[in-house]
Amino acid sequence: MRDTNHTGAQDPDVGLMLAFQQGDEESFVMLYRAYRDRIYNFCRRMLSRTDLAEEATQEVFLKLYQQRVRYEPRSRFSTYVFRIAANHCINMRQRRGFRESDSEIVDRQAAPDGASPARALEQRRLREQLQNALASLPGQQAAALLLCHYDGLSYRETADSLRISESAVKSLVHRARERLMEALSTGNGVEGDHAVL
Amino acid sequence: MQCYEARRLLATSRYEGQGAELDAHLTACDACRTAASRVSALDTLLDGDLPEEPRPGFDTRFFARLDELKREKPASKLAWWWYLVSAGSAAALALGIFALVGRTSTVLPAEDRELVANLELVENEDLLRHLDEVEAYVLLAQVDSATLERMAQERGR
Repeated sequence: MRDTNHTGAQDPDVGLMLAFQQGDEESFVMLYRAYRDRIYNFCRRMLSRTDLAEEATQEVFLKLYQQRVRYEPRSRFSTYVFRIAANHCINMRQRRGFRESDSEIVDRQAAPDGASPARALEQRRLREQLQNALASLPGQQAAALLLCHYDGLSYRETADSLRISESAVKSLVHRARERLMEALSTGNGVEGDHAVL
Repeated sequence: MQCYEARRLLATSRYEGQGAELDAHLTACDACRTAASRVSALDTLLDGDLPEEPRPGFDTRFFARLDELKREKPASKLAWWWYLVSAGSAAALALGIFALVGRTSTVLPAEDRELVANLELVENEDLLRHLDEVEAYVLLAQVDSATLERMAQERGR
């Protein structure tokens, strides 16, 4: 059993992946259930469209299934699976010539308990503006920011996922946040829009 | 701490922590405190994008695709064998067809055989004529210019 730098004891998900590599299909299902929503939300925020996010999520797990023979536990499993997801989403954005106008919000997020309709509408507007602003970021900037902010990856883990240096991640995250603040403070060209920050 | 340092730290303080030095600077600097509030507002906005689940039926669709992939897998493992066999079969078939076509004397009707033979003769004569010219050019290329000039003068007489 290949287990170099990261053992199943250190990261249980690595253990599951190694078991799957040995033929235990149930381990793959467990990994799928553990990471499905995380990968889906990463793809959703990267691609700004529900249908594309679902397609990308499925592709990530299919790749995980197909590439199990080549898996080597050099880092945490989350780093590995988000690497697949980030590469896939960045490539999709490039292939599609991704633009802000491509973003589409399917508002399935529940309004806060007791929220008035006006508040719910405001929340929806803010999410839409954020989605548009994220769509305006270059792919690697968006990926670095999302991995650090939402998925709790350290700079080192994010660097591992994106196959860049730690200092490059810091730079990307810094620039991404600056650009988001700029986009959200001046509006983003949507009619009737106004500054958020 | 200078303001530019503070602004740089503010941009990533969410992930690296703020530190006492930055706290002290923000207490003393109105401009950086304003910048910090903008950063805080951005984080609030980012945090407001709550995680979602995929639409109903997602799991069913995914596992259906996975089953399809698994059904294809045994064939894909042997795919290159099949390609090799298919390519070999196609090549053998092509050679067989060419061999059959080449044996015109046993395939063509009698009245067409003479025509075909004559055509072959014509083609061969044409080829021979060109070969003679090519051979002539090769020979001429080996001759020095003085000899060429003398040959030309002799032809001219």
